[in-house]
Amino acid sequence: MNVTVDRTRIARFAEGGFLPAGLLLAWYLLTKYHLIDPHSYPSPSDVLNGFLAVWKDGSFTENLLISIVRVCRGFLAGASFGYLLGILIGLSKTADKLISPLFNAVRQVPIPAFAPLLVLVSIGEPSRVLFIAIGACYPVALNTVEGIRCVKREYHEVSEVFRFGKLKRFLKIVLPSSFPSTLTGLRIGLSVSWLLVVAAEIFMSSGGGIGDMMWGCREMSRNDLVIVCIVTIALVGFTMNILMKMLERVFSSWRVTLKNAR
Amino acid sequence: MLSPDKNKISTLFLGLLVPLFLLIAMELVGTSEFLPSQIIVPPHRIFAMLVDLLSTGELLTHLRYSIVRVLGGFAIGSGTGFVLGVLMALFPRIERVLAPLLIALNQVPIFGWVPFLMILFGIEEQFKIVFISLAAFFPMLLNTFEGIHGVPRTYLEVARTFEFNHVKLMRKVLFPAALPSIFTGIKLSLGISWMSVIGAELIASSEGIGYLIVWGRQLFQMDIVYVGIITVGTTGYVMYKGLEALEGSLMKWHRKNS
Repeated sequence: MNVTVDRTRIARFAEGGFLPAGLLLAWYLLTKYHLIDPHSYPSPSDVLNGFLAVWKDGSFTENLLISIVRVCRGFLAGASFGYLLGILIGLSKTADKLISPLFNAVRQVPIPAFAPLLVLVSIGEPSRVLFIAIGACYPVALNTVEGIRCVKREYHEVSEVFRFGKLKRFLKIVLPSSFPSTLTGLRIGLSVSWLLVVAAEIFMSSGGGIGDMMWGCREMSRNDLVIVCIVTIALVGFTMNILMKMLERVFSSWRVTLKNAR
Repeated sequence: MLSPDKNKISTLFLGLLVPLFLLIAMELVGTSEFLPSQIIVPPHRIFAMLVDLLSTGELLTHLRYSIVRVLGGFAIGSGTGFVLGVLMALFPRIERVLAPLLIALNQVPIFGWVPFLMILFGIEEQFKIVFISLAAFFPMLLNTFEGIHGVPRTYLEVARTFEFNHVKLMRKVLFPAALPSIFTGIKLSLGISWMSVIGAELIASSEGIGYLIVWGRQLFQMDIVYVGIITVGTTGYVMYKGLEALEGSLMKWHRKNS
């Protein structure tokens, strides 16, 4: 029984690994026999050596850390602003009518378009952080509004029965039951932030960071290092997403147990 | 009868209140030279620039470049994404072979591809189209796949009982059931394409709305930058609304025909 399960799993793994392995092999062979220009297309071992070199001289870790600190700053700033905005719009109909039209209008502008404006407002780190924060704010705000509006009517009824005051209702009912939705917004916001940190480091370069390093390597035609940077960026984004999904699962199971307890 | 109308008017009024206030504040601050006018431009100057760029036809020329690019990249990327999504949902073997590679590639944030694509395709039109296609590809692929994969099994059993052939199964069961998800894919994909075309034009271009914005910045003409930003936002919104309208009428048409 177990053996067959394992076998299908192995077969599946082999099927999925077939294409990536084939591509890697093709890359290796093409570069080994110099079938493509070795200058623009580095070989797998070039990439590995390039990675080891930047790892040893510390520039890799340094730039990666800069990007991670930057994304944390932008994300925290944007997410907390978005959270407050979402609570405000979700709770108050007047605030909704006042703010939502402007919010939705500004939201239509793709974030990259803000880059030239931000450069003029402030040169350097604040403009990059603000750029990221704008992107992080939208999904958090939208999902928080959604979460607050979807709080179950029964919960409100219960709070009425218990004569909860406004503050207590907000803290004990609205915030906890809308939090899983906010968390979805936070996950999307974090992945948008990671996308934007790379964009910010390209549009507003020369502040260090993995995107800046990648851009510099392209200008110096160090294509092996460009590939190292792309893989790193992908891995960091992937890890962030997995962590946020784990967090989401913890909180949604908490929601299910609440439901069952009822 | 009267109260809903009144309600609408008060909603509209409240919605305009904050933007109006901001515009007046910008006008006052901008004309008083309290802050450097390079940052806060009085709205009347932005409006004058908008009229100016419209009347010389410059704005529309740049807009046309961007729209042609976005439509080209979007068509290629979302078309490929749609076809692959359908194939992967219908044939588990294709899914098993392609999924791991595609999932890995999808981990790269779209701007992470820029230097690599520049190495492969240079900085001209080809690079931009490939870049936009890549951006449009993944959301379309994922949503098409999810849509068709998520069609309830009972539908398929009904189709089997009626002995539908492949084409009929596709047209009568799978496609209508997956339509909402496919449209989500189209909307997401066009939105990301629009963002990418602006990004690509900021990086390397000599025409297009993204270029107009950069150019304005280089001249320190903030009114041009604002006109560019407003144009980008409005165009994106119009495209999105257009797709929503199309979705609505397609759904209606489907309901009528089935």
